[in-house]
Amino acid sequence: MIGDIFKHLGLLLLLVVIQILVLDNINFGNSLAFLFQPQIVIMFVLLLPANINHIWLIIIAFFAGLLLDSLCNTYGINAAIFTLIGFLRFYFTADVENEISGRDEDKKIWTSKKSKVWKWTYFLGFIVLYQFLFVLIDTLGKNFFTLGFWAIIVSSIVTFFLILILEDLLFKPSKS
Amino acid sequence: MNAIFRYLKSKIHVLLFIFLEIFCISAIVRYNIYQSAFYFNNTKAFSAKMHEANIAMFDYFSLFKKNEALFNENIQLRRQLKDNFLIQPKQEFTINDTVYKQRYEYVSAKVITNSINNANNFITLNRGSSSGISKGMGVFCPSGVIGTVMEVSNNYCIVLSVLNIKNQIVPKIKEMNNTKGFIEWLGKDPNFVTLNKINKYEDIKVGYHVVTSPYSNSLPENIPIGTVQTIEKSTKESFYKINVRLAVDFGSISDVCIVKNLFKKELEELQNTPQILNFNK
Repeated sequence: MIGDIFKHLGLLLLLVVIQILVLDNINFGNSLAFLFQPQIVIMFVLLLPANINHIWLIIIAFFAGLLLDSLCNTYGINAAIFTLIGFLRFYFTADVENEISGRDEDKKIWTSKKSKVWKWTYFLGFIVLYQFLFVLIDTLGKNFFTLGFWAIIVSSIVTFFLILILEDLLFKPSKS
Repeated sequence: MNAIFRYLKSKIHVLLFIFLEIFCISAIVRYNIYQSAFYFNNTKAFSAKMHEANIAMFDYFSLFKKNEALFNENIQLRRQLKDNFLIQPKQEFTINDTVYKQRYEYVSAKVITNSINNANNFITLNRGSSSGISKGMGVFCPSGVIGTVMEVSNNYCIVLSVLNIKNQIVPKIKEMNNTKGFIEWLGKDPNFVTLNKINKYEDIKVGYHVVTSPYSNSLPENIPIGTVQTIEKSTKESFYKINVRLAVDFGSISDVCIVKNLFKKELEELQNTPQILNFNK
């Protein structure tokens, strides 16, 4: 239990460090730079335990967003979206723990308990929701169809692959 | 009570979610410059719009009162018009000066009954001899001449409308600045009257304005009657047949003015002195 808490705290710190020190500093310096705004901290909320209490899920998501906000000068935007995602996520993942794990017992992460398609939809859906809300609140709909829409698509795809890679790196099925 | 608490406890995650979202949104609006500007601009515009709608609604309900107030004010202003005063040059003064003496006074009235379909149309007003109305006074509304007072009771009077075949008005053509002919209604179209006895050699054109003449005892000068619509020349007669479109829409008059000529009695007395009446005999 305590080990789990530290594991997730470490994941949060790692994601925040990658986000702040690496991803936020990547700048192509050309006219297409606005397209590349990946936000991977959302991965922390998506990877919290599936059987977590709904209330704790919302509170933890809120504070994770607040932490990110305090480091990115986006007062309240990330916290608002994280809280929403924490609230909604519960309804999608509450039943995963009851899934018969079959041959995947050795897998360390619960997201693989259902099919691969479910996992991808789960990730991609929430990433797109996050990116959409972020762009919407950040720009308040200004230039949405000329800039914002394409930024959402490109950033979502980049974030999706980054999260898949990171998950694969961090939670590799141990080969026994 | 217990049931309410149990229900709230079962929905506590929703309440927590809503509470945190409100906190976040207030933080967004408070600390982000762009978002706060957007928020305050829009809420201000919204509240201004609401306020406007509110005012518009109450304005509508008070229109009747406002109309009355405006009309009274109009009358007040009309009392001060130059046309109301008789100019009396005083040559006794060493400085050439003129003194104005009030000639017309106005009383506002409301139309009670009105008709336009008969050959002889009358209008009843809610003013009578108790308001100082007497026979022969002129009546007009802001857009033009209505008629002359025919019968007076204590609180009401009956006006001989312009749309009455017995009514005759002496007009002046504004552009030509001369008084000629007379206005007559033929009893057909309530929008038109005929201007008779205008000589064929007069240079009258379509669109000229027909107004009241200065020679009338009952109406002040320059109150509109109508505009010239068509001019017909007949070979047999030496006069034009001129159609004048009335300035007043007689179907929709509601507020009118009755004119008191303060010198009328004096004038009539003077004109009816036995010497003048018997002069031609």
